[in-house]
Amino acid sequence: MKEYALFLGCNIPIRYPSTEIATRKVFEEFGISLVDMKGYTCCPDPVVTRLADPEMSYVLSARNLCLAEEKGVDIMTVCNGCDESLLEANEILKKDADLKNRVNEVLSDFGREYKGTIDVKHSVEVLHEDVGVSKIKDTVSSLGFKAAIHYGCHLFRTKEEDEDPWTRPNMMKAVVEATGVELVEYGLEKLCCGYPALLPDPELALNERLLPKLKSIGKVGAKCVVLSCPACMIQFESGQVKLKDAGVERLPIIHVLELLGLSMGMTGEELHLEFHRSPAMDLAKEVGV
Amino acid sequence: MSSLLGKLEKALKGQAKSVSSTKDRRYRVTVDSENIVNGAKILFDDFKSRFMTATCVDEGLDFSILYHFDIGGEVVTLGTSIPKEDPRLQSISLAVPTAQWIEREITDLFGVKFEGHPQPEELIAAEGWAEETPPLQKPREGNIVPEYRGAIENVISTGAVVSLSSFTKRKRQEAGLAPTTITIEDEEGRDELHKILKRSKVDERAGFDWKKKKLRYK
Repeated sequence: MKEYALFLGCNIPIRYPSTEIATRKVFEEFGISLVDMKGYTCCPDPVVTRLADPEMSYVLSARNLCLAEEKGVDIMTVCNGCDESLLEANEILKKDADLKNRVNEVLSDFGREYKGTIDVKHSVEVLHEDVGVSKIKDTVSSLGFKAAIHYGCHLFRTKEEDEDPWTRPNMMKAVVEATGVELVEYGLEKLCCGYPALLPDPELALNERLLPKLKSIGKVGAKCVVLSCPACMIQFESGQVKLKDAGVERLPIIHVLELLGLSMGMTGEELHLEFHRSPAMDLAKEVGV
Repeated sequence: MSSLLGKLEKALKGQAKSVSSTKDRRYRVTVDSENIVNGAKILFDDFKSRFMTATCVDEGLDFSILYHFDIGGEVVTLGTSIPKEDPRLQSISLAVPTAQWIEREITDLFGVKFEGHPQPEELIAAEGWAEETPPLQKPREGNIVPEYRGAIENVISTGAVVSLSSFTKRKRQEAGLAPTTITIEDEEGRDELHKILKRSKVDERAGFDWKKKKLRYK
C-alpha cells in the first residue's frame, strides 16, 4: 500500500476540518495510507513568514521535511500554499549546501538532520498519479452538475523535472471531471483569488481580485466553485459575505477532496460541511448525498 | 592577534559577552547591562585609558549605549543594549567622572535613565522639557510590517499561522477528529519549536516578548 506523510498545514485542521475528514476518508477508500506528522508546524506560509524572515522559513520547512524523512515517506499536501513552501524549500535545500548546513546546524541540536531524501506532492498529484483518473471514474457516482474551477496560483508552480505550469492544474481538472462534474470556463481561471493581498491591501484583494472572478463565474451558470487550497477557500467564502451587496450570487465553495467525497456517496453531514461559510451543505443535499 | 586585543580578552574574561577588533586600532567590547560599570572600571583603571565620549543609538526596539575609551591611541568601545520599554542603565560616572555630562546629554535627548548618576539633572534641555518626549527617541518599531504582525506572533508562539479556538476544538471532537498534531496542540513539538526559534535568534530578529507572547511593538 502506498504511504504518505499527511501535511495538513494550519488552515485545514483549524478552519476546515471538513477537508481533513474528506482527505482521510477519500484516501482510505483509494487504499492510500496517510501517516500523521506529530509535532509539525506551519509550512511556514509562503508569503508572510518568508517575507518576514526567510531564514526562519527554511528552518521550519526543513524541520517539517525531517518529520517525514524520519518516517521514510514522501509528503502529501492538501493546501497549495503548504505545497509551494515545502516543495520550494526541499528543492532549494537540496541544491544550496551552505543553507542546508546552516539549517542542519540548528536542527542537529534537537537530534534532527535534513537529508533531502523525500519528495513533496500535492494531493491532486497523488490522486492523478497514484490513484489514476480511471480508478476515480470507476469508484464514483457521476455528479453531473456544472462547476467552476479555481486552481490557485501556487498550483502553477513548476517542478524541476517538469517546467510546464499547466501540468498540475490539468491534473486537478482531470480529477474534477472524473467525478462527472461539467467544468464551465469563465475566462479568469488564472486570476489570483486575492488571499495573499488580504492583509496588506484588503480593498484590492476583494474588489480587484475576487469580485471579477465571482462576476465571471456567475455568468456561466456554475453551481459551485471547486478549489484545492484552504487559503483560497477562506478568501472565496468570507469574500462572498463581504461582497453581499455587490450583486454576486453566494455559491458553494468546496475543496476537490470534498467533491470527491460527495461523488463517492459521502453525505454532507458525514463530511461535516457545516464548517464552511458558504452553502456547501446545501450543495450536498441538492446532489442527493 | 594584536597585543591589546589579547590583553582585553584576558582582563574582561567573565565580564564581556564578546571582545573583537573591528578594524585597525578599533576594538569592541560587548557586555550585558549589569556588567557595564565593571567593564568601564577595568578599561578606565586597569588600562589607564582616557574616556573620550559616549554614544546612544536608537536601534528601534533597544538602545545601544556605547562608551569610547582611548588606550594609547587605540579606541576601545564598551557597549551594551537596553530595552526601550525600560531604558535604565547603571551610570559609570562614579567610576569614570568625565562620563557625567555625556550621560546627562543622553538622558536629555533619548530618555535613558542612568541610575546612581551623581547629578541627574538636565544638561542641554530646559527643566522637565524632554521627560515625556525625548527629542531623539524614535517610536518603538521592529522588523515586521504592521500587516503581518499578528500572523508572525501566532507562528512564533504556537507554530500555526492561525489560532485554534475552544469552539473549533469542540467542533472537531464532535466531528470525530482527534486533536491536531500541529504544534498548537502538541506540547512536545511546540517546546522544540520555541527552542529552535531561540537558537536561530528568530525571536530577537522579530522582537518577540516570550512572557507576553507578543511582539514588543504594536
